[in-house]
Amino acid sequence: MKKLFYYLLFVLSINNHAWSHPVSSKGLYGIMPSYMDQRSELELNFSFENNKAFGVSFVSIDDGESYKEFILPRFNYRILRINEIDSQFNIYLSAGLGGNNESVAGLGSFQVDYETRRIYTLALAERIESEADNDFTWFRYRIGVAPYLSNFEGFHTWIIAQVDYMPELKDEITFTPMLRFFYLNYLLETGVSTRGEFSINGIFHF
Amino acid sequence: MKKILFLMALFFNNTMACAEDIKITVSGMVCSFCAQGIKKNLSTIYGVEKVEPDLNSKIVYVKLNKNGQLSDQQIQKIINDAGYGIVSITRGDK
Repeated sequence: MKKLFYYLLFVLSINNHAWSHPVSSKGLYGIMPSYMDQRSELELNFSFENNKAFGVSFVSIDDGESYKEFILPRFNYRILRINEIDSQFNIYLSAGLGGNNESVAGLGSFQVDYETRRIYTLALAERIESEADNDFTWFRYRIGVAPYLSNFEGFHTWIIAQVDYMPELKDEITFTPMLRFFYLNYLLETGVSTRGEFSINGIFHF
Repeated sequence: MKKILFLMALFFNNTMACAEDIKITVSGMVCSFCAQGIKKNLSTIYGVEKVEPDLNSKIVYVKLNKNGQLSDQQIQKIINDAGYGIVSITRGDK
């Protein structure tokens, strides 16, 4: 059973992440995998209100010496949304408590984003702290532009510049140009950092 | 005479039950990926024949079949549950 569990976690962690859609629409499920150098994550969540979601994050971190894997049930809360006719602004908070076979771990996350049909920007700060001193901090900033506008059931493309900083893993900032594509409920992003590190993210709602 | 009146009432009832078009102007609808919940939740309402969000005009077009009913309160709840705001609701028979 344990082997099956870790196999499943490994398979899921090939393509993992959770950052951009902590809460979607009431009644929707979200699957958010992502992979980047040294950190991959899969978040599964359910938005039970239009501003609240329960979920679980499976996080895998390579600190250069070993893999640290965490299972973190979490609560995501959109504390503010401002809808204007041509824009949207959001602030999210997330908190999680779980761990691994070594220790209990907690997760805290803060995300701010703003978008129009043409421009998108996001800032994220996340921290995982564990009893075994496996602590990880992650800062991310993104800015994106849509080179063309598509309508509701069209195919959308965005060009995004992404900056990451994970001080416990890498004491330098990583810059990654990304391409984002989405169609209906399916979103995919991919990019290669200036150091040649591949990353890929997805978001699926249903 | 009664039969004639009854048949006329039946005839006019059928011809006057028309499909209704509703135009909902929505705020915050800037991303089709994020707004999929609007279409999904409106489409589940009995009597809703078609839902067409338009990102250019910020309008969600809803077509009801001739027996369909969708109140402003229902619309408000569905749009709010999806995380968006309503600017206006306009109704018109086709």
